[in-house]
Amino acid sequence: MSLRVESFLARLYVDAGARQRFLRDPDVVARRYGLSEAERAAFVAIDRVGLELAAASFARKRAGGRRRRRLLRLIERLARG
Amino acid sequence: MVAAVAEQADRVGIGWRGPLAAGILANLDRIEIVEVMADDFVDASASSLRALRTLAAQVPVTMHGVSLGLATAGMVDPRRLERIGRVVDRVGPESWSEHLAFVRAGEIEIGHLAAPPRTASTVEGAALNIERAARTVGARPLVENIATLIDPPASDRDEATWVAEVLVASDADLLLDLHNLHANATNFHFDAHGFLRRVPVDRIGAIHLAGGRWVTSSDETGGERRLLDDHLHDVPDPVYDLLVEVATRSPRPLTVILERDGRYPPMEHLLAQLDRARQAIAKGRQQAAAA
Repeated sequence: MSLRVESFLARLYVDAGARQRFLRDPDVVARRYGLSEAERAAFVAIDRVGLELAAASFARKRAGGRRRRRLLRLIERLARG
Repeated sequence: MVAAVAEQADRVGIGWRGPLAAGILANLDRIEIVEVMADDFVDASASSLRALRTLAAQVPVTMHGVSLGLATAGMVDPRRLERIGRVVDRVGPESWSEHLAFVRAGEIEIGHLAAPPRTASTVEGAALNIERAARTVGARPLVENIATLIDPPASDRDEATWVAEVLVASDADLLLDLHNLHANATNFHFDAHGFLRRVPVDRIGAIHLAGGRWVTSSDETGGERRLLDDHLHDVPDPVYDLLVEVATRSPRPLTVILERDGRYPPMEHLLAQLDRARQAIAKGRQQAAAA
């Protein structure tokens, strides 16, 4: 398993356009990303329900994380007076 | 540095969150340990860290990280490790923990905990990163099993096998999140109690409890329901059942933390869940004594 697999998976989680292109033609998109034949086979058989739900959950978390970091910065500024 | 603590008894506590702070401080007679999010304090002022150290003088504190991404075939970011190490050093918790997850790949930040492909590469990568973390922070982290909505592609072994292999390869103890286990077992149709029989029970150093909710996929993917671990709901009954089993089989004192990240109910409602966890542990210990 290569770092390229993690990178490809991360791209599918955060990039809705890349995810849509992948779902239309997974083998071609995975090949363009440089995945091996075995890796491509794994992605062709991906858990599509899970991919959709995980991507949506991560998007909510990223938005929540940005709000949380802003709040923490505000609290720190107030604490410093 | 991490404070040396002799584990002697089962303990039940709760995650430290700003909206819960007053309720926690007012009920320290019913809370035996507090878990603090390490990432919330990496940019904290000296006064905030002093306040945390004061808290640690009143109640045992453990620290919990979410951003390192230890379970990757790559190398954990040494700068992030150093920042966590500085917080741990200044607060002096009795232990610290991180997740068996990857959270970024190159420049791509996923924004949360993602399950890596379960392979020999990620077992080896996780073990190396845990060792790096232990060297930088000065103590080996407990490592937590994560919840996942997706069966991670390119895996060649199941979760129980992968977690057990990471524990062996890294010599780390397990922070066993029972709601994560319940959610994964529900979503991917395996027996959560069977999972408990396949991970080394003597390596369970701490337990997380939480709740979740159902999420449904689009019509395009069949409208399938999966259980999301969201920390916004009460601990469901099957999670307490798992806690009874762990307490029955574990030879070690258990440290149990309730995680609640929002939709906060009255403090008494959360304290009732801590009491129920104590009852589950007591039931498990009684079963062990009777066996």
